[in-house]
Formats: sequence, C-alpha cells, structure tokens
Amino acid sequence: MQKLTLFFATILCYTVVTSQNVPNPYSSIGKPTPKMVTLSNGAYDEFLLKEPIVLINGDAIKRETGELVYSQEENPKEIEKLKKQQEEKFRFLSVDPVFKSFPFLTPYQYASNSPIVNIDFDGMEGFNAAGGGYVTSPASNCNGCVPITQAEYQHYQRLYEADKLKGKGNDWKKLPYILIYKPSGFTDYGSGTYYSAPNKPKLQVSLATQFKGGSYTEILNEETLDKQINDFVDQLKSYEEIPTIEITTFTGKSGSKSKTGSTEEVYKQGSNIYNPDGTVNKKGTIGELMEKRGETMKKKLIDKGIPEDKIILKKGTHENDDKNRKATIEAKLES
Amino acid sequence: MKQKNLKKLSNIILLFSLIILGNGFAPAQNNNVLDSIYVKQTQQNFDNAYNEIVAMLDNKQPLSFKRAVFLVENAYLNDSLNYGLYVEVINLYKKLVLAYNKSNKLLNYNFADSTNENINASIFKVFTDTLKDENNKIISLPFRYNFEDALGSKDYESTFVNYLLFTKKGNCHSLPYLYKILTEEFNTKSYLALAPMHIYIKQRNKNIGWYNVELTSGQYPKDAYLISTGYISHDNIISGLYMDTLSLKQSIAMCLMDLCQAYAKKLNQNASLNFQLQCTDKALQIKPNYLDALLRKQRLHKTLWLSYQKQNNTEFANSNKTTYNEINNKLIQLDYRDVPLETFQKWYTSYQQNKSKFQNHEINTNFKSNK
Repeated sequence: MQKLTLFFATILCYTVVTSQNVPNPYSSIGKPTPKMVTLSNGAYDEFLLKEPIVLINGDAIKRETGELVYSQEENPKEIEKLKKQQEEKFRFLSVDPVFKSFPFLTPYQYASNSPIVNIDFDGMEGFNAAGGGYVTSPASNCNGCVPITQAEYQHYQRLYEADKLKGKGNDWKKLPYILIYKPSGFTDYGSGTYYSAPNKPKLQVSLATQFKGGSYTEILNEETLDKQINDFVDQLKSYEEIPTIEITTFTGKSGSKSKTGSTEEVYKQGSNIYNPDGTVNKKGTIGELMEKRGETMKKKLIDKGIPEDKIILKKGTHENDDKNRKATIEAKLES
Repeated sequence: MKQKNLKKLSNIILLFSLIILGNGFAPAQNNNVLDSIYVKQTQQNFDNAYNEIVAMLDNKQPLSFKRAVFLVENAYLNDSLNYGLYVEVINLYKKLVLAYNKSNKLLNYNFADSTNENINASIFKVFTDTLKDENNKIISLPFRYNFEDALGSKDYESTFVNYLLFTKKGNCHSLPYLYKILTEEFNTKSYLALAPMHIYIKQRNKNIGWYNVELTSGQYPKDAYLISTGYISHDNIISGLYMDTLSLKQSIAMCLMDLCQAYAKKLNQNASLNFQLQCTDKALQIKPNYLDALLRKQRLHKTLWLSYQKQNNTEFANSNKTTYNEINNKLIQLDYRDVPLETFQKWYTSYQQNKSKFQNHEINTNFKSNK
C-alpha cells in the first residue's frame, strides 16, 4: 500500500498544463498553446535542447567535434546572441494534427518530408512551394497581379475560410489582388475563381471553364452559378457603396504549355455543353458559351438588386492576353 | 538535556565565534602585495593541504571529510585556523543534535534504520528550526541562507564551513558540507549530490527509499522538482553528472577541487597552473565525471594552448588544444551546458517563494516530545 500511494503521488505530480505561463512553441504561426507536460508551469526551462553549438565555460563549442567556435573574450556579442537563441528550430513537440489523413507518413514530419520542394504555412499540410500554380487574374488587363504559389494560395484560402466561418475578421480583405489559382495538372483556370478584392473600386468576376478529359465542359451549371452569385452578392454587402463590377468572359491557356493552341484558337474551339445529368445540351464554341454565360450572370445580378449601370460586360481580349503572357514568361526567363 | 547545559552550550558557541572571527577572518591579503615571500608561504600552505588530502585519497591516511574541509579553509586563511577549536565547535553541534534527539523521536517511524533516520532528522531540525527549552527560551537558531553573498563573490570566506559555524549564515556549499560532517560524526548515512551550480544531500531510508535534503531552504524536495527547476536534462542524470550520490572518497575529491578554486582565488587564476592541474587530475582520477574538475581542466588547457600559441610553440599548443577538445567532447557526452543567467536569477528569487509547493510530504519529520 505504501508503495502504491507513492506511485500515485509521482503520477499526480506530472500535471498537464495549458496555461499562459507555458511558452507557446507555435506562437510564430498564430496557433494556441498546445497541451504540454510541465512541472514548473512554465516558470523554468524544462526542455533542454541539444543545440549544434553549446556553451561550455563561456566558450561556444561545436557539439559535433568539441572544437572552439568563439570564446567570450574574443566575441562577447556572439556569446550573448547564443545565450538568447537557446531554442532549436526544427523540433516537434506534438504529433502532426492531420496525421490521420496521411497514414503513409510519420506523425512527426514537416511538409511530407520534402522540405525543399514543399512549404507548410500553418502546420497542416505541405504544399508545393514553387510549382503548381502561377497566378494572375483572369482579366487580361490585370495591373499589379502578383504571382503566388500553391502553398500561398492554400494559406490565403484557409484564412478566408476561417474568417468567413467566424463571421468576423477581415484578413482576407487585405489581399491586394483577385485570387486566382491554377492547380497543377490542369491546363486551364479552375472554377470557383472569383474571390474579389474589396479594396479595389472595381470588382472583377471571371467565368471560367475547366479542362476535363481533353474537352471543354461547362461545369458551372445553374445551381452552382446561383450559389456562387449569392456568395458574391453576400461579399458585396460588406461594401459601403456598391462598386463597379466588371464581368470578363474569358478562357485561356498557359501559353507555351498549350496543347490546343493560343487562347484565340481555344475561343473558337467547339465544345459540348452538358446538363447537370450529363446529357449534351448544345454544341457551340467556347467563346459563344462564355459570352452567353456572362449575359446570364449580368441578368442574375440585376435580379439581385444591383443597378445595371454598375455592371460592365467585357469580352475577353485574348490577343492581349497571349501577348501579356509571352512578355511575362520572357521577363522571367531573362531574370 | 537539561536547560543549564544547553544555555552553556549556546554561550560557548557565541564565545568561540567571537574568537574565531577575531583571528581567522582577518581582512584578506591585498593582492597588490604579492611579493615572493607571500606567494611562497601561500604555496606552502596549499601544498600541505594538498598532500594531506591526497594521502587520504591514496589510503595512506584515514578518510575524514571533516579534516579535508578544514584543510582547504585553513590553507585559504593563511594557516590561521585552529583545528582543535573547529573540532570542538562541531562537537557542540553534535551535542545539540544528541540532546534534541534524546527528547524528541520521529513519529510513526518503526523501521530497522530508525536510529539512523532519527539522528539525521534531528540534524535537519537543528539546521532549519529554532530550538527552545521547556521554558520556551531559545537555545539555538537555524542556519540562514546567505542572501547577501550567496556565491561568495564579495567575500570568498562566506562559502566556508567555518564561516557557517560561527555566523550561522551559509550557502549551498557550506550547509550540505556541515551536514555531511555531522552525519559522518554520528556514523549515519548521507551523501552529497550535485546539481547545476548546486550541492545538496541525498539520503535513503527503509520507509520511502531515496529522498533529497535541501538545507538552503530547509525542505525535502522531490526529484521531479529538482529536475524541472534545476536545469537538469535526462542525459545529465543517466551520465551521472548530476543527482548521483557521492561516496566519501569522492566527497573528499571534491574538497581537492575546492582547494584548487581557493588557490586560484587566493593568488591568481593563472598562478601555478601545475598545481591546479595536479588537483584536477587527482580529482578526476577519483571521480572521472566530476564537473568542476572537468571545467577547470578545460579552462587550464585553454590558457596553456593560447599562451603556447603566442610563443609560437605549435607542438605544445596543439597538444593542449587536443586535450581541450577532448574535455569538451567529454562534457558534451555528459550533456553539459552552461546555465543561462536568467535561470540562475530565477532560482535565486524563488528560494523564498514557493516554499511548500514542491515539498516531499512523504518524509515525516514530526517529532514527539518525551514530555
């Protein structure tokens, strides 16, 4: 019995504390303090890490070789710095929160174990840091469009969704551009692409198609279009004054990688228009299709109570678009 | 013990303390008058102490922690201490402990090592509590932590057992040393143990096994408390760098390093590196993972390396450099790292706060009086 009570005493003294006193290892990415086992409630440094450079007798020593890097007398400033940096950067204090979705990966890994290719903004999934998306507005005359990576896109997307869920917060409104993302593997702009820039006087709405199985398929059926328009009108409510809305009918290809030719050619290309149940509705060119789509969109917006003079319907200027693309690609190659 | 005797005791202690303070703790020699005679004499004092301690370690003389501690302090104080007096004052404390133990026994402790435990608990009581006689008159006051000069940076003597005996102010060096001396006198078991910048006592009884005695704050702290607040990593414990019990021989080897430190304080950090190396090597021979010795050896070899480098003696410089690296490697193996200043300041301020928080309530130090 004596031993038993002692055992329980030792167990109880290890308390799991989530307190403000415990230093938050995730503070830099804005996550709350995780549950951590601590005895002194964060008052003392309980996590002694094996830094590559150790302080011994005031000398900075390489852990691997035991050699002197610099001593206090020679380099007091460096020693001071080292004393402050008693923190190891790549160390996991908890398992990956999304480890259940990735049974093939260890629960202690960073960005799918590919730290050079991938980047992880928020400690969830890793995303390709370079490839995948490039980025521009679907509008041909996009001034100040900023290229973003897949990872950045995911990050902003999450910010946007999180703020929307909370029903407050305006972080996503800070985005300086229309967020369009082209997922890798797709040669065309994806659907669901109209996140608008609230700090711009003019909203831009794209009508996008998705490349599917070698042919252009109208995937924005009436239902999804209605839903998206509702979302869009909801966004407009956060404006003091209804801004000008520019609807650009657009379709495009990524220049050099194009299989089917320039955007001009694509514009003229024929396509089936599918009903939601999969039956073919009508044949026509992509251009016609998009222009029609633009008109329906304009009508629907007017139905929602948006004054007609605020809506501008624009045809996609494919030639300019192609030129712009070439220019940017050349500029990139040069740099 | 009768009231009269105890009164006498306290008077005698007071008297002796005045005598000692008058003689032994005369103002330390000014470093500006380091003439050769003074250096020679000091060297002689330290050599004598060294020889006697080494004789103990080589089994040529009986091991005595009490004697070893005295030798170190006497050497630092220019051979001005009186061993007879020192022994007598310790005997007074011994009598005080016995007197207390005679009339107060531990409650509910009926194990085989009851005598051992009773004596140790009485020593702890004498160290940490005010003792009164039947008429509520104070006989003895507890030892206090020396907050004014905890590290002995102002006055190195304040870390000495002799200073503690006569001023009742001590630190984590003198308090456990005196405790160890008293348990050695009573032939009861206690062990010195190390923590970063700290020394404490480890004991074992049949009731709960190993436990810690912390005399600076008068507590029985748990291991977990020491680990979490003491800047101790798990590898430190596994490698035996910290929290390991020290045998009597190893404790005396510690005195040898104290001697070395006192020597460097007395003369100069760079005075006779040979003597200092002798001390460290001997201490490391007894306890190979003794931190103080390793750190000093590291510092000494660095000094040698740099000075040979200045003299363009590459061969000697290189050999010292490799030794320096080897010691670093050994320290890294033991998972040693310097304690950050912030952590040390936290310890310092927390002595007074959090007194009951991490106390080991398993230890029963409640006494029942005979009356």
